Amino acid sequence: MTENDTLVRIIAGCKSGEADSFSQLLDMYANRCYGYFYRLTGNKDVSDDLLSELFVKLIEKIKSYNGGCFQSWLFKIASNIFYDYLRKKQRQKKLLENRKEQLETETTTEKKHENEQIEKIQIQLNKLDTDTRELVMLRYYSELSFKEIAEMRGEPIGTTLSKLHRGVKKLRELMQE
Amino acid sequence: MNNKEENIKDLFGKFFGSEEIEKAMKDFQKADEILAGNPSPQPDEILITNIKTQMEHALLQRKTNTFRKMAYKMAAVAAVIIIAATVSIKTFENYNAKPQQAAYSINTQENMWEDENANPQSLTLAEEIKQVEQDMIALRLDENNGNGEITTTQLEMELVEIESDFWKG
Repeated sequence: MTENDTLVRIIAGCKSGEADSFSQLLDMYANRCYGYFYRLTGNKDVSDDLLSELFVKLIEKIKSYNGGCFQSWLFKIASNIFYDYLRKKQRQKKLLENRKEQLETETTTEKKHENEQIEKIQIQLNKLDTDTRELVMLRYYSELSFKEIAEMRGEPIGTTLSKLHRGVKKLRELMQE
Repeated sequence: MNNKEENIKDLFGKFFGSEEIEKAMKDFQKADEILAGNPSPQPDEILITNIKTQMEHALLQRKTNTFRKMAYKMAAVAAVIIIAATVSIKTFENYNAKPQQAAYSINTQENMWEDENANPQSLTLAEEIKQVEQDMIALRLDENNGNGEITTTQLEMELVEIESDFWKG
């Protein structure tokens, strides 16, 4: 049985509501999805939450999957979850701006503590804008083709290619510093 | 990744010159190496177990909700069936009852003369009508010595009067 056949069988099981099939799906994609979230957020706890959210959401959404590239469909949901998280974070930030002084002290301490543990790649990745970072991570972790990525983002393939190229070039330069 | 690299070469050929293709490919290759050389942490076993438990709960809840929805739907369908059956029975009963009522009303006039419990006033009037009718027949048969025409008219008028009194009650 090929990998694709196995995936088809697992998805059919998921559609029937079998818990085992969902577990198998989690085993298959947990690492890649976690890597995607971790490289985008740079935070273990947040990545844990986002991964949980993704797979629980999958239970609701699986019936809307009507064939096609499963990875593309899965990472589209993952991408939406990530952007929802960013929007939520942005709202919280605005709410907390009123207590700026108090927070500044806390954040400085927190940042110091975090930076000590964060790897070089994470620091350099954070220097890329969110959209480019997401695009580079999507390509690496989803293993989708450029065409699939462009379709998923709803933009012309030339735009995706050019954005991706700029992103990887910048990452390369940053890592060489 | 090879698949992607092949993809790049074809795709970049549509957008860039040959020198730029090589450069771009190197950039992508290097970026892949950087990311592969710095793997992200893996999710904990505990996290995976927790997610599996969460999924099981979500599935169970979903099944319960589906069952509940089905039960509600079935109850609604059963209610509709019961209402439809009740309405059908009522309609059937009414359908059967109406002809009986009609028959009864027809019979009322015919049996009125034989009914012992009939209104005495109605009986008197009925007797009068019978008497007048008999007189009419006798007149038509010329039993009153050839002076029938005027008397017949009088009797007819009398009969009409009695009948109208009878139906007025």
